[in-house]
Amino acid sequence: MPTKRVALTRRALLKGAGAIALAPYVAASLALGGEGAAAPSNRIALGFIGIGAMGQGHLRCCLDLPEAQIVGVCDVDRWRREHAKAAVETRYAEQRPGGQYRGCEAYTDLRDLLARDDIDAVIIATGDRWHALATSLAVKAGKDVYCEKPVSLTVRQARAMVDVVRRYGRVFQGGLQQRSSGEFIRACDLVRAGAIGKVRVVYVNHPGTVADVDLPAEPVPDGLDWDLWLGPALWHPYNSRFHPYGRPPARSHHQNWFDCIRTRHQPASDVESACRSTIVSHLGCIAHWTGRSLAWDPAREVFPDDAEACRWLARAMRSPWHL
Amino acid sequence: MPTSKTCHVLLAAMCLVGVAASLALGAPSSATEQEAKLIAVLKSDAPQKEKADACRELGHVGTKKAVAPLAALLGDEKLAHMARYGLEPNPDPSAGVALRDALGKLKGRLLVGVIGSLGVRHDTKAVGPLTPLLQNADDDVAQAAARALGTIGTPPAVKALLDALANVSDANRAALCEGILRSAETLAADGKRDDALDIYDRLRGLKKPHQVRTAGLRGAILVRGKDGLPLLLEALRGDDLVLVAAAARTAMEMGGADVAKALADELAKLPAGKKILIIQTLGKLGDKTALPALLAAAKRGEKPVRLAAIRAMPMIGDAAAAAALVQLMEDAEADVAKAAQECLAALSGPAVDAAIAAMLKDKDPLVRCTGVELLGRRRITSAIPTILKAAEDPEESVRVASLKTLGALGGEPELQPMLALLVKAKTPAETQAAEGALSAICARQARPVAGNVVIRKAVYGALPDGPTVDVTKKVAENDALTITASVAPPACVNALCAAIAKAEGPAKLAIIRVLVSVGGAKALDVVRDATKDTNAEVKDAALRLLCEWSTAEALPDLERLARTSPDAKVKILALRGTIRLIPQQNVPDEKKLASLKEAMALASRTEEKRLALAALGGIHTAGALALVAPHLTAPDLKEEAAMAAVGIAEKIVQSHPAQVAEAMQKVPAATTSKQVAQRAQKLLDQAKKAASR
Repeated sequence: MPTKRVALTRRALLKGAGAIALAPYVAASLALGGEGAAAPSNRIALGFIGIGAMGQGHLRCCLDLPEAQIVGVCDVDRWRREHAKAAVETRYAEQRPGGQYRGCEAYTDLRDLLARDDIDAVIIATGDRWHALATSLAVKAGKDVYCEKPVSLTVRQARAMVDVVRRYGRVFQGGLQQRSSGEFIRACDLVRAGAIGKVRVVYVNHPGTVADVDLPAEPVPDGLDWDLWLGPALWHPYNSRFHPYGRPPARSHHQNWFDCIRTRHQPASDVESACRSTIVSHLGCIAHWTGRSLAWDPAREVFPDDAEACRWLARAMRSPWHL
Repeated sequence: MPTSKTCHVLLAAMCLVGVAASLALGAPSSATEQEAKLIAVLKSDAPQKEKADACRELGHVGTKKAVAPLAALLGDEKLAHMARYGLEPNPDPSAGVALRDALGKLKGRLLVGVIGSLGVRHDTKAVGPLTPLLQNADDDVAQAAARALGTIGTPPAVKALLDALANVSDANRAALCEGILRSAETLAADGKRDDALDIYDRLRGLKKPHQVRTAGLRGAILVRGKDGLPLLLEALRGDDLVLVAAAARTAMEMGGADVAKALADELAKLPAGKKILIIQTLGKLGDKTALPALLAAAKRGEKPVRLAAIRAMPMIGDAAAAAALVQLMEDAEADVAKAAQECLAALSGPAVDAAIAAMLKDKDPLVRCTGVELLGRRRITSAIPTILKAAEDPEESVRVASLKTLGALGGEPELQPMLALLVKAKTPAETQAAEGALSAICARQARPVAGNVVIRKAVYGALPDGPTVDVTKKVAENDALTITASVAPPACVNALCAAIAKAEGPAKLAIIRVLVSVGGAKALDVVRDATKDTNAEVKDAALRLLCEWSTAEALPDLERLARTSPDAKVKILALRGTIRLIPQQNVPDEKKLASLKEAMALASRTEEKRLALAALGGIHTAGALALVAPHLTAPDLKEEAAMAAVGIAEKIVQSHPAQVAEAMQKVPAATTSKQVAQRAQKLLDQAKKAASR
């Protein structure tokens, strides 16, 4: 079980613990806009869920951002989570006069990390099968979320994510980093301003879908929680091709997310836009699987008068996982 | 998803390609036949994977017939998930019956799964059997029941959930609240406003969890619509920071002029910290109603608040903010002034353009300067006439800023006025600015012209002085490509040439430099004439610029200067230019060799001889090797000669093995480079083999 931390953190302030004036915190954090060294109470306490290739990239990035403090890392792979914990503690120790830092906990089960009251926000960089579910669990635990793409595996999962994020007033940033890139923002502004005229047709290239595989069972490595790795996905026996255990894998967009955590505004890749973008991919997959062109009603989020195609909009999660 | 139909593509970590092929058995001719085949698989002794695949397929094509075979697997630890995969989307009511029947037979994970599937199906008939599960000793079961009942959202489901709230355990509270919130959304969507409000008002009063309090407030405000504004403001004014943040986010969800007005009216009453949050919210709302409040907040008060108010203005995008921002640019607080300038640049619209253009009439030269720069950043070409006048401002800083901006905005019509300004320039800074502007304008007028280009050498790396790699072989060496080059239109060149006649001193020099950047035969004529100018400074500068000419049309002039110039420095510069241009000519290699031989003879310094050897290294003939080889023993030239010799030899080793062998034998002693020595040794071996054939 995680140790409950009692510290005057930003979270404590947000919960209204004691007679603490709002003005200095809000004014200072917002005015600073992330520049310079952030006071401890102004730092966003981060947890990481999934520390594979993408997760490690996010970790490295956030270690350099003064407004973030990484306090927890979670991965079903013991090698990855211990490596990440060590990396965090080493970096923070370098910044301290005594050269010591022991403030990052490592977890196997994301529910243990999410149970911590002192974590403000989480970065979800698990396999795709976990994205919608981990987001839902995190939001319901009161955390703000950064989730890698694709943000969901089905259309219905995407809509459920929008609903839950809005319901609890959380800040969600999808890992569509180009939304924070100056060049892409400029290009979008130009198109919206009519630089290429009225847009009538948009072509989206879809690379096709991934086939399911039947790999032979191998012994589950000691240090890997295979059941948790699978999560809500279809059961497969462990095979190292799914997950090679013990090997390291390979202001920004994060800055934009941090700013929105403070101001509670919509980030560049807000949940609605991230989910709508992901839904486009799902539509491509469904067209591929059904082998025909499909008409889509984006308002109702159904294929009108096409019950067969509609059956592809959702899929059951492996128990005990549910959105 | 086609699964057993696919060829088995191994799932590497980054593999993204899926291919669908026909079943080995052949594709079924109808959905009915397909379903029958899949059901048969379920009833057979097929391996688990095949049955799982069959369940998945039945999720897409299954009818009432598929329900019983799938339901039979709900208690199977290994196939229960896939059985639900098949049952959840099955439209036949018997699927719901099967799932409800399973409730009483299962426990643990299997039961949780079935509960979830009933929720996904919005099975209203499941409310009765699900209700008692809210009190189940297994927390996972209780939580699943709460979520499912919330998704179903009928009045009995809502009642069951609310009844459970009083005694819910800490472990199950979040899930129960989630269920209640889902049902509230359903009630609101069904028009049962009062029922939904009852729920939201109850939940927003809970002490914990904080996110439920947030959700309760949000729902309570949104369902009330405009009538929710007092509630929103009450939350904003309160001490519960969770609700303050929730109110701000909910305001953004509501949007509209009423919300903007309510927040704007509240702004002055709030403490600084909350002010910033609401100012940013007003900016995001983007409603012009908020502008007066933002302007007031920008004019005085704590600096962070003022800055936030200024930064919110471009988001509202009302040109009415322009005048205020212009004033704020003169603020004593430097950060405020800078923010105002940045935000003025970000505002769009003709009224803003006009406000900025009006800055050029301000009595403060700093304001006039800023105005000119902003016009440039905003690319207001309609302001060019105004900027041309500003280029004659009494203040030098304004003149220089105007000239630079004209360089960014001007076109062919501005050439003559720019040339006139160059001639009138009073200071070196102005001359430089005008020259830069003219070069930029001429460069923008350049148009593509087709021409043949022969690639002699290609390098990749950090040019000009960083590490590089010769990639000539990768780029097809000596291939002729048709590449379009850019050429300035005659109007540009003619304007510059005409202006030269009337210009003197620094202005004349500046125009000559612009002509050099433009290039072309006519420009070369002008520079050539300038080398005979009576003004010593012009003459000297023209000679140097001629020596830097970038195309081979200047070669005869440079060869002449290299031979006959009375000025030693010019001779050297001309010789260097000559050596640089000789390889660029489109003439036979023998001609180039002869020219380089003459150039070497003219060279009195080691530096120019090295340049000539390097140039010879690019001519891959036996004649070139013969010219290079004698220098392999010259102390100051042997290193350069070695590199040149190896470069030539690599191209002619098969045709002239004996000559190559003789030269390569001397290279190791001539060079300190291991790589060059290794290349020479390799060539020696090749030459010996070629000679023996």
